[in-house]
Amino acid sequence: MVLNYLANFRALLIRVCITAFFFMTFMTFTAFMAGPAHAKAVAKILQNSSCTAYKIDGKRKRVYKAKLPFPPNVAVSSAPAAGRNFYGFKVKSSSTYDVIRNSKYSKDFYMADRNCLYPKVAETEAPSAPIVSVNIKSQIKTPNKWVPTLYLQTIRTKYTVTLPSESTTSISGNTTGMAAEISRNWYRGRSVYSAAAAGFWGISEIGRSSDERNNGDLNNFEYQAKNIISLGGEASFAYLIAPFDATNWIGVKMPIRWTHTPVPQPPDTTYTVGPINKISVSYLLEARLQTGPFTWIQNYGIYGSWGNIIWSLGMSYEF
Amino acid sequence: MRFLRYGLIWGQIFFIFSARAYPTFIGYGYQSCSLCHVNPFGNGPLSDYGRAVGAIAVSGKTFWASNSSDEELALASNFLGRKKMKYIKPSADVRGLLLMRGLQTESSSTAFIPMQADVSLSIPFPEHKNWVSATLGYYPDRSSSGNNDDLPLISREHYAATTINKSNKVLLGMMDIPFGIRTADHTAYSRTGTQLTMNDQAHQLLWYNFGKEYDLGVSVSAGNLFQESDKRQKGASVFFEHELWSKTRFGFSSLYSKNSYRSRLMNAVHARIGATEGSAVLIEIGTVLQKTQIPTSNFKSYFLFENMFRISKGLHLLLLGEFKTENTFGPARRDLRIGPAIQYFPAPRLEIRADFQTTRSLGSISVEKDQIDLLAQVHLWF
Repeated sequence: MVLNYLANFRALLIRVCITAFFFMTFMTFTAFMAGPAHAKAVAKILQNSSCTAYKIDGKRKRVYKAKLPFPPNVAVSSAPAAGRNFYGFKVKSSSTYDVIRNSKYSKDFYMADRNCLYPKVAETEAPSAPIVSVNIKSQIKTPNKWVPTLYLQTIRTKYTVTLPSESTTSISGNTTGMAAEISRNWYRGRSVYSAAAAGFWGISEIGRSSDERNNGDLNNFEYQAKNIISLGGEASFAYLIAPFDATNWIGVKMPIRWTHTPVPQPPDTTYTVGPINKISVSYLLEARLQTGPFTWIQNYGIYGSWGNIIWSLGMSYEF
Repeated sequence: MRFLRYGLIWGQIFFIFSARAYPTFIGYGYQSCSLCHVNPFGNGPLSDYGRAVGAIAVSGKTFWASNSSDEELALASNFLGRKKMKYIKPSADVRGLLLMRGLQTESSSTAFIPMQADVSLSIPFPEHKNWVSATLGYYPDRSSSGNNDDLPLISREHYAATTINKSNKVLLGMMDIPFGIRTADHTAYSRTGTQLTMNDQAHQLLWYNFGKEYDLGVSVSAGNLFQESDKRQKGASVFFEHELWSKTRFGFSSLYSKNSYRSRLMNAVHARIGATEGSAVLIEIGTVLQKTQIPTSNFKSYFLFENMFRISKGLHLLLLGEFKTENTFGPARRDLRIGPAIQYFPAPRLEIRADFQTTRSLGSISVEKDQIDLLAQVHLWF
């Protein structure tokens, strides 16, 4: 039954896309369900002088305590940026049109201690000392945690055909699948180092491209394979920076992946197709966009060699 | 304050400026197209308010804008700069593309394509409740012989509109059919797959109902009346988008149209999610059921995912991933287009964009090599 399910690759691809879409929509839905709740909680900070809010001066890389309470016409963005030990938010007035310039607060970014969201904790732990400017790094630096991520991936791959003459040529392939990753981040101010391990499951297909159909070496070679289960694992390292704010991360990632793809051998045994086991190094552009505790991740880059492109779309959750 | 008040009023009344819709600007807090565009479903001319937004909230401050304040830039965003034209609102929009195809192959090619050269004119009537708008665009001869004597011009839109009350407007004329996310990339699968690209407007009666948290459009279309009657796609469409949370909108669209040769039933769901200021995620998934005179039906589907990351003021990194199949449940070609892009508004009236696109085609028996293209665009507006 499972094999039957896998038999139609197109249907599977669609299912994967649809599943990924609804999965991510659901995750986003969940994240934003949490958003307004956070906003309301953060809003309490504005009326609760026992809590502390910090105004961020990105240019000077300093943090100042915000003057509380804010004027009554100021509201909090309902989709605050989330960190691990803080919530960042922007203030705005009630009208969308005023966001641009009408509020002197609208361009300011604030952070509040996460403990302020829980009044009991806040009452006992909120700082009451006079305000001292502090280095922004000490505020953004967060505990390093394990972060699980689920990716949808598509990879253009190349397989080698060994001809009867022992010479080799290539034939095109494509793999679509999912990867489950666990990563650990080390924040250094507005940059982060990340190391991750992942498992990969996908389905490969092999066929000739237009160019390869004109390859004289393959004139007598009829070969096509579909629905090949591909399994693998990878270790990766990434470095990202947050140039604009703490929820936009852009950087590079270098995964080293081992894959096992049991490519069926052609009936004509004078030809062989491989490799079955392969190790590839990828060079990727990575972008992360944080929405609440969830992070959207996109990777784009070269898989193994120039011309082989890998793209992945992922979502992670920070506990 | 005074400028904003006037900007809001005039913006609501829809004055004109030509540009394309950027649905990713929900990341800036602009949730509805109608906030900045004359046409409440985007595309085409912008309102005065939209001009100001483009000048001060989106664009950077280099070149001629380097020493100007936000207020000065906003006031100078009119067609004639600081001079405001009260009774007529002209605009112009030019976009050129340098297309380098097959970068990784020996047979790579380079071509310059004039993508857009539009002029628009909008006339608001007293009380500012009614207006007419028209856009004339360059449309190069695409006949195989290249000997078409027709002027290379096309009416992209011409319509009259009226505001019934605070929540309802009615538009009558030729314009884009509201469906899905109107992304600026007219070659996106979500637009080519639905055949709703830059030259696919139709004559229609469009009812626009809106509130603070939603937009609803219902259109009844007679097709493009410039076409022969048997080719006109007559039908109806519904578009709905609701703001569930701040800067987060979910919606659906449905369209049915028919001419003498084919009928189409299209459905799509979409999400536009604004993250921090200037950053956003767009998702759309849709299906197209097409029936032709040949007794076979074609059930296409597509998927669009686009991220916009704001790097600095005016500078965005876009990451695009889209998929389509010509037959969802049968053997057919499948296409995947992926890649990053840089979108830069260095100063008001100027957009520079470079897309590094990879297209992958998977046939029923073939796996094509990736085609890597570079698309460099310059977009000017006046």
